[in-house]
Amino acid sequence: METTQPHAYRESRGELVHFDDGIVRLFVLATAIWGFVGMLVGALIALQMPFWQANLGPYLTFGRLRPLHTNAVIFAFAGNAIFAAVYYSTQRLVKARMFSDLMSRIHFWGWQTIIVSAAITLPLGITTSKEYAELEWPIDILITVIWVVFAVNFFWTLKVRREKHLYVAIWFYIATIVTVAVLHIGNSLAIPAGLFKSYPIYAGVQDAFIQWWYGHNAVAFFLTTPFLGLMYYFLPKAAERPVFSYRLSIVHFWSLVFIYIWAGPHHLNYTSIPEWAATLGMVFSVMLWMPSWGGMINGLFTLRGAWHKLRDSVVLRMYVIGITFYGMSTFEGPMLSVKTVNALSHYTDWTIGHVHAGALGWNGFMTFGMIYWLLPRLWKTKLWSPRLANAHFWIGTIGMLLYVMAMYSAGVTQGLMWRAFDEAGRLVYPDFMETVIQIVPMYWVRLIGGLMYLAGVILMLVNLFKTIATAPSKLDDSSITVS
Amino acid sequence: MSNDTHRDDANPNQSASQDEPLIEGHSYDGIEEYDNPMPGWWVWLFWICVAFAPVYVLGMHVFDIIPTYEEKLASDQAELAEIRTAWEAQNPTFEVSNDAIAAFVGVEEAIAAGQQLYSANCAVCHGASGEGLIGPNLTDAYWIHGNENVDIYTVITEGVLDKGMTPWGSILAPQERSELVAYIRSIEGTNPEGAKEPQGTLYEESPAEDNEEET
Ligand code: HEC
Ligand code: HEM
Ligand code: HEM
Repeated sequence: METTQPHAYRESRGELVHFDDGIVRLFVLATAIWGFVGMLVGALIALQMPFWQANLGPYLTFGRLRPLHTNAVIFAFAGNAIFAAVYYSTQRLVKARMFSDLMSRIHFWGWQTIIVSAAITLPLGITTSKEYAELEWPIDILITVIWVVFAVNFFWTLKVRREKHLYVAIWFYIATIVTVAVLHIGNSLAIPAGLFKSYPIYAGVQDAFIQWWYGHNAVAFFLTTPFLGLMYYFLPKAAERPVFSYRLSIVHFWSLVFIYIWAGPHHLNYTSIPEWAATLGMVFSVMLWMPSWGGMINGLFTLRGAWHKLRDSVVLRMYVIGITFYGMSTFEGPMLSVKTVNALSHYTDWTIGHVHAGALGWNGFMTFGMIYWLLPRLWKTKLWSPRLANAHFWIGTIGMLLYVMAMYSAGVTQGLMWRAFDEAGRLVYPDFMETVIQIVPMYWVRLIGGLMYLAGVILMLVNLFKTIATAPSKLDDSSITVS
Repeated sequence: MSNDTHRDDANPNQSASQDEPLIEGHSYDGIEEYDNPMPGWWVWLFWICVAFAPVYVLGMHVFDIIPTYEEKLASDQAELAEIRTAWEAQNPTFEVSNDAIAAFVGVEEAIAAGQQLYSANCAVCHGASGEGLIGPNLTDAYWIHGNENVDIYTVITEGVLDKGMTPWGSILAPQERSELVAYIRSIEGTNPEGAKEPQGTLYEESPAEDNEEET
C-alpha cells in the first residue's frame, strides 16, 4: 500500500480528504436532546412508583411510559451517541469520507422517524410486549431498512479506506452492525394481524429463548461493543496516550463477542426453560467476566502516565467514571447470573440497580465525555463553560450513586423479605404489599438521584447550545492530506 | 488545535512507560498501541472462569453433585416441613373448636386485629366491608361452607382452591385466623352497600347472636 511508497512520491500525490462533520453534529444534537427527553420520562416513572397519583390518564401511566423510557434512552440517546461516535471516528481511522452523504442523512432522519413513531405508538398502547423490542412490525421494517443503509454506508467506507489495518474501534463497530441486524431480524419475525398488531412466529418457551437471546445481546451489542469502540477511539485521543495493549484488545474482543452470544438464558433462571439451558447461560456469563474486564483494563491502563491530566480534563474524568462503572456492572452481571444469587435478586430492584450502573455510569458518562470532547472540535470554538461541565460531572456522579445505592438496598431488602420464614415455618411477610411499602423510601431516594442526573444533562444541553451560539457562522469540514 | 497534529504533541517518549515497545506501523489518526503482554492475573482469572464451566456443568448434569432446581426445591420443602413439625411438637396445638374460637369473638382487640388482617389479605376478593366481590358476601346469613365458627375457620385454613379461595393455613397463625373469624362475626348483618347476591344456604340463626344473647 501507500506506506511502501517513497516519501517524495507520497508528497507529490498528496490528496485532500474532507470528512463529513455535519452528520456528526446532527447526531450529537440528537443524542443530547433525546437523552434529556428519555431521562425526563425516566424521572416521571420513578415518581410514579412511590406516588401513584402521577399516573395521568391512560396514556401516561407507568405501564406505557416505562417502555417509552427504555426505548428513548437505549435507541435514541445511546443509539444516536453510537452513530455520532462511528461517523466521527471511522472517517478518521480509515482516512476516508463516509461513502455517501445521502445515505448518512437517510440514516439520520430515518432513525429520528423511528424514535418519533416509538414515542407516539408506545403511549397509545401499541406494543408487541417483548421487552426492548416493543415496536410493532411496520416500525420494525423501517428499523431494518435504516440499519441496512447504515451498514452499506459503513462497509463501503471501509472498502475504499486508505488505511490498511483496521483499528480495534472499527472491529467493535463491525461486530455491532452485523450482530444488531441479526438480533433485530431474528427476534422481530412475526405474522402481522393488522397494521398495529402481530404475533411472533415463536411460541412459549421458544419465544422466551429468542426474546432473551435478543434482550441480552441488545445489552451486549448496543450498550457494550459500540461503547468499547467509542472508548478505544476517544479515550486515547483525549489522554494523548497509546493504547495499553494491542494483544489484550485482540483477545478480549474475540472472547467477548464469542461468549456474549450464549449468555442470554441467565435472564430466564428459575423459569420453565430446561435447566441445562439455564446452566449454559450461567457458565457463559461467568466466563464473560474477564473478557469484559479486558476492556476496562485496556481503558484504565491507557491512562498510565496521564493520571495528572484528570485534574484539568473533565472529559477524562468522565471516562474514568464510565469505565469504572463498566467494570462494576460486568463483575456484578456474572455474579447475578449465578443461580443462587439470582434466586435472591431476580424480580427485585437489584436488577434495576445493575441496569442503571451500566446505563448511567458506562453509557451515560462515556457519551457525555465524548460530547464535551467533540463540541469544540465540531463547532470550531471553545467549550462555553468548562465550569458547567465540571458541575455536570459532580452532580451526575452523585445522582448516579444515589440511584444505584437506593436500588441495591431496595432489591436486597425486598428479596430477603420475600424468603423470610419464622420459627414456625410460616412466611414472615405473607402480605406482598408489606414488602413494597418497606422500599417506598428507597424509591424517593432513587427519584432524587435521577433528578440530579437529569439536572446534569440539562447543564450539558445549556453548555451545548451556548457553545454552538459562539461557533463561526460557516463551518467547514475538517480535512487531512493523505498520500 | 486540529486533531490532525495530535500525533506531534503526544510525545510518547515523555511517558512513564518509555521502555515499552509500540507496535510498528500502528498509528490510526495518531493513536498508537503498545505491544504489552496481557496482565498475568487477567489471563489466570480467565482460565479459572473457563475451567469452572465444565466443573459446574458436569457436577450438576452428569455427576449429580450440585443440586438441580427440582432437587433444591425438594430439599428446601423437606427442611420447611421439618421446621413446621418441630414447632408443632414444641408448641401446644391450637385446639380447633367452636368454644376455643368463641373466646375471640366479640373481643374488641381481636376484632381490630382481624380487621387489619382482613383489609391486607381478604378485601381484594371479599370487598372492603365484606360485601363480596370475587368471593362471596361475608355479611349476609347465607353460607356455602357452614356458619359455625369452626366452619369459617376451616375455610380460611384450607381454602377452596378450585373456586379461587386461598388456603391461609401456612401463611396466617391459628390466632390470626381466629381473629379473622372474630372480625367476620362482627360484620354479620351489616348489609353494606353493593352487597353481593346471596350464595349457599340460609342460616336463620347466627352463633354470634347466640353469644350476645347469653352475655
Ligand atoms: C383470591 C380471592 C380470595 C381471597 C384473597 C380470599 N378469598 Fe375467601 N373466598 C374466595 C372465594 C372465591 C370463595 C368462595 C369459595 C366457594 O365458592 O366455595 C371464598 C370463600 C370464603 C369463605 C366462605 C364463605 C361461605 O359462604 O362459606 C370465607 C369465610 C372466606 N372466604 C374468608 C376469607 C378470608 C378471611 C380471607 C382473607 C384471609 C379470604 N377469604 C381471602 C376468594 C378469596
Ligand atoms: C434520569 C435518569 C434515569 C431515571 C430516573 C431512570 C428511571 C428508571 C425507572 C424508574 C425504571 C423502571 C424500573 C422498574 O420498573 O422498576 C427504569 C428502567 C430502565 N431504564 Fe432507566 N432511568 C434513567 C436513565 C436511564 C438511562 C440513561 C438508561 C440507558 C442508557 C436507562 C435504561 C433503563 C432500562 C434498560 C430499564 C429497564 C430495566 C429492566 O427492565 O430491568 N435508564 N429507569
Ligand atoms: C459481563 C457482563 C454482564 C452480565 C453477565 C450480565 C448479567 C445480567 C444478569 C444475570 C441480569 C439479571 C437477569 C434477571 O435476573 O432478570 C442482567 C440484567 C440486565 N443487565 Fe446485565 N450483565 C452484564 C453487563 C451489563 C451491562 C454492561 C449493562 C448495561 C450497559 C447491562 C444491562 C442489563 C439490563 C438492561 C438488564 C435488565 C434486563 C431486563 O430484565 O429487562 N448488563 N444482566
